[in-house]
Amino acid sequence: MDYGIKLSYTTAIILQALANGYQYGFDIIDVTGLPSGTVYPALRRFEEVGLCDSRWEADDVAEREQRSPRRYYELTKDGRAALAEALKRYRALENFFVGAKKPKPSDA
Amino acid sequence: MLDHNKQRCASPSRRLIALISAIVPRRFRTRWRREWEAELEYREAALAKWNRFDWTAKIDLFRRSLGAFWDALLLQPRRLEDEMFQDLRYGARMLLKNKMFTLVATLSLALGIGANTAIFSLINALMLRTLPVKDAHELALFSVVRGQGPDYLLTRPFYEMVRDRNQSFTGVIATGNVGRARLMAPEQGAGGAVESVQRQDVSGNFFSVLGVGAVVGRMLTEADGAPASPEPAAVISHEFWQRRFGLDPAVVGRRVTVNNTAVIIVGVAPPGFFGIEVGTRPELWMPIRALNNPSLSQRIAWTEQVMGRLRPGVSLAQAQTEMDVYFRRHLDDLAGAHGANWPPTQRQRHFETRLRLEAGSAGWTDLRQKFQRPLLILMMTVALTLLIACVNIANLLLARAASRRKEIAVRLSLGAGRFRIVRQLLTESVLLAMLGGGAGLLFARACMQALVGYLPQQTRGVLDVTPDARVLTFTLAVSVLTGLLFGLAPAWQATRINLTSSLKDQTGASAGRSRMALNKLLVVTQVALSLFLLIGAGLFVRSLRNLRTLDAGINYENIVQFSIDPGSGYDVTQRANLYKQMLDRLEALPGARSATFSAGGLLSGDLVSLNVTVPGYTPGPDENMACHSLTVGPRFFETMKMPVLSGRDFGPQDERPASSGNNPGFKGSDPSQNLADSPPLPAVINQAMARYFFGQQTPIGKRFNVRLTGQQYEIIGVVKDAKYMNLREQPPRAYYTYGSFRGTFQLRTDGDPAGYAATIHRLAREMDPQLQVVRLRTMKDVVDDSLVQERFIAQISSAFSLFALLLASVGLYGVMSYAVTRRTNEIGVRMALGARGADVVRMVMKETLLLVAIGMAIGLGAALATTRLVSTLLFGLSPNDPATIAAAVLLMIVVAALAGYLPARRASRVDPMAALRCE
Repeated sequence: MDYGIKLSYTTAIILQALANGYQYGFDIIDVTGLPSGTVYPALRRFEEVGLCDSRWEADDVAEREQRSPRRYYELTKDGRAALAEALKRYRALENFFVGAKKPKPSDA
Repeated sequence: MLDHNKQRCASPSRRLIALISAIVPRRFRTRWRREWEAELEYREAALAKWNRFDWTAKIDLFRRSLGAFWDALLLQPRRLEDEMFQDLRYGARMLLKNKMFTLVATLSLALGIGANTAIFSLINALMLRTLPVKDAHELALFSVVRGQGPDYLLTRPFYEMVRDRNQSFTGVIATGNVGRARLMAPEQGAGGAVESVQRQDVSGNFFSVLGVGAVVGRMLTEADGAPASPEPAAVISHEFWQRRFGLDPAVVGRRVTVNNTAVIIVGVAPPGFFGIEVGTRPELWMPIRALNNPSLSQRIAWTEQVMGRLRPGVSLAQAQTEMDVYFRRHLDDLAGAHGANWPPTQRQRHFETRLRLEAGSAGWTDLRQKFQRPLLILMMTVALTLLIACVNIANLLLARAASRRKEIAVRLSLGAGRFRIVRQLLTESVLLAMLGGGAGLLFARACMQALVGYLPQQTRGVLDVTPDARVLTFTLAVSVLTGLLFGLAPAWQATRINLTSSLKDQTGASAGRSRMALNKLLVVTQVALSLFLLIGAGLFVRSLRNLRTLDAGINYENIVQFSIDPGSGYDVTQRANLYKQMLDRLEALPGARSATFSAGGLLSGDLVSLNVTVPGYTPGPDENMACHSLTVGPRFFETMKMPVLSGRDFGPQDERPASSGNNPGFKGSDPSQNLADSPPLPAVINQAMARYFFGQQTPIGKRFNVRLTGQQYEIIGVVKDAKYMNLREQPPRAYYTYGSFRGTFQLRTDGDPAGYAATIHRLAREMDPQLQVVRLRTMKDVVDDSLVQERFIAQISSAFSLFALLLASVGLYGVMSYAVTRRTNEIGVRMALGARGADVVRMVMKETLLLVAIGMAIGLGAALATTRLVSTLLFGLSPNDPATIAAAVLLMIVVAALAGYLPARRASRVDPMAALRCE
């Protein structure tokens, strides 16, 4: 099925990171080791074709921590389907983040 | 939303993000910046909290921020996408709102762009299109330059020398002309019908060098060209295979006869392949048989086209150098073998002949010579007409932009960039131009039909003029350029407005005047261009008329001519009877006046020229003693309406029995017969020949000899001069001999000669079903064909220059009309102060005529400077012919005056009270 993007290893990694709960741009960069010039364009492309949604953090969270709200990304149903397809292709991916701690999720 | 940015601005990463954000499209900029800065802020705070915010961390964050540049870069396409769609939608809406304007503009653009496309298509088909062969760009075409223009025929010995010894080419091919041949393909049992096919003789390596493979069977090889091969092989074209043999694969191995030689078909060429001569469609290729007696003692025959495929890494210039050496050697060989008796000037001319290699990717055609100049001239004409149309549209857009001032002012004041608005206005223009271009493609199709009608008949159906990628790209480019051209000035003008006065709906006087200046400048340009085109067209039209109405010495109305091919079944006597029978039957037709035949048709370009010696006349050392020679049948001069001025015409007493070989100089004659001893044959000479050799003396009864055969002739009559090869020439010296029973029949009819075509075919079939009637045309068609270049330019340039005149006058009307509207106030004041209607008219007309006069001066100057360049195409008038110029100027003045009078009359009807009231 055509997800609107090429299911390369890189995009599969980013999808998996999103699924594992790493929802902020810099966090994905940290955990995947991919450069920012790869991750952010990929995230924008995912959003364009509907594989993920993005939102600003809730104001009160940011206010509480005295900082500007960050933008976080969430996989959609299509995104999950694309990830499943990618996992079929790249078997090793399942084990990629085994043991990595999921950070506290921010809610909408 | 808390804004912590101010406190931490010093961070180099943040500064980098701020810098990069400049290139992010405005729509996304804030959001993008906030996202990145929020991440950086979070990270910096976390690192600081854990005391990890050291240099390595800072560098790492900076490196991460560098990636933002990539992110911003990849957002660029979104910018154009969104804004472009917006512009397109807006532009489309604007065009729909002003339907009348859009319609008129689209039509005039369609005409201009369509005509440009049509002419470019023809140029493409004749000069640019690559041959359908492998790697056509590697091919080089051999041409010979002797004084005027190149010709593409070389000699067989030269070809063989190059083929065997060259270093620059991987293969060299030779081809003969494409000509008609009789083909008979016997079906099972019954003998097949004879048909005419187009046949070309080619060298054995023709197909292999061109890289063309067989669809079925095989292509010709070198072995097929060897003189020892028993049964000549032939390859047929795909179209012929389809038409005649129904794509039957069993055609391979089929035996047919071609011009009475048994031939075996060995293969079929791929569809679309036609060889190297553009505008021909050979149906049959046969190998050039090597001469049984290859020696240079044969007459020098320049009959083969030669083309080579360059070796990889060898340039055209390098190959040229090598070929020059071989050619020089060949010239030496020729001079050695034949040049013993050459006068010095002929020897000099011989050695001045140059070989030239040209790029062969587009093949060759002799049409190129004929049509290159006219096509380029027409291209210019049509381009200028398109320019005039553009100016009109620019003027209209200027007027419209003035009425959209308020809208633009609002947008500017709301912060829209000026460039953005200009871009949006330009999108509108380009959209309009694309509409015009699309409609233009349709119009181009119709235009092509008209243009193709000027090509010679045999080329018409054969030249591939369908638009290919190159033509479509051309149309697209022209459309876009046109749109930018007429859109740029109005768009720029439109945004240079005084915001406050526009928003308040005032009309600034000074701004108005400068805007009018641009309009007026454009109109002056239009007038100049129109006059330029009118003068050019006038010159061509008058040239054509001069050619059509000159005294050609013959009356070529009401004559139909044709040739017959009787095939092999006729010996000389039977052939003579056949011709006599045909003449009788032709004259018996209802409406026929007289019939005759001649060895070549006049004005068809296929006449023979032979050197003569005249006893009593000693030629100078270098003197050209060549005279045109034409062998004719009974009643020739009567049929062609050429008056015999003194002496007598040929008659029955001049007839010889057919077997006495009374057709010297033509194929089939026996050169071993010594004709110098036989009695002199009768000949009629023309005035030019009489004057030249005999001055005022009467030439009747005098004699002359033809050098080539030694045959002696006695002059029995003198006929009026006529044109032989084309209408432009001075009548050359010519003599006519009698008999020979071969050649073109001519029939003079009472009514329209074209109606006799079916009858003539029927006659031929009745006499002998195997008889082929070929090249049947009226003589008027023949003459028209010879004038094709002149007709082409004259008719098309006059059509377009008149169209240009129309456009210019519409433009003039528009501008003056607009000017009058804007000056309603002023006119009202004048009339209130006592000016009468006639005074107002005079005022407006003066302004109009001033513009026209300036335009005409420029146009006239341009014309006078450049008409010299086309003087070779003119006939009977000088490039600065005063009558033509005067006529064009007069026409321009009349039309312009009319265009200016209508607004002037409107101005005179202005009611002063109403005018003064509306501010």
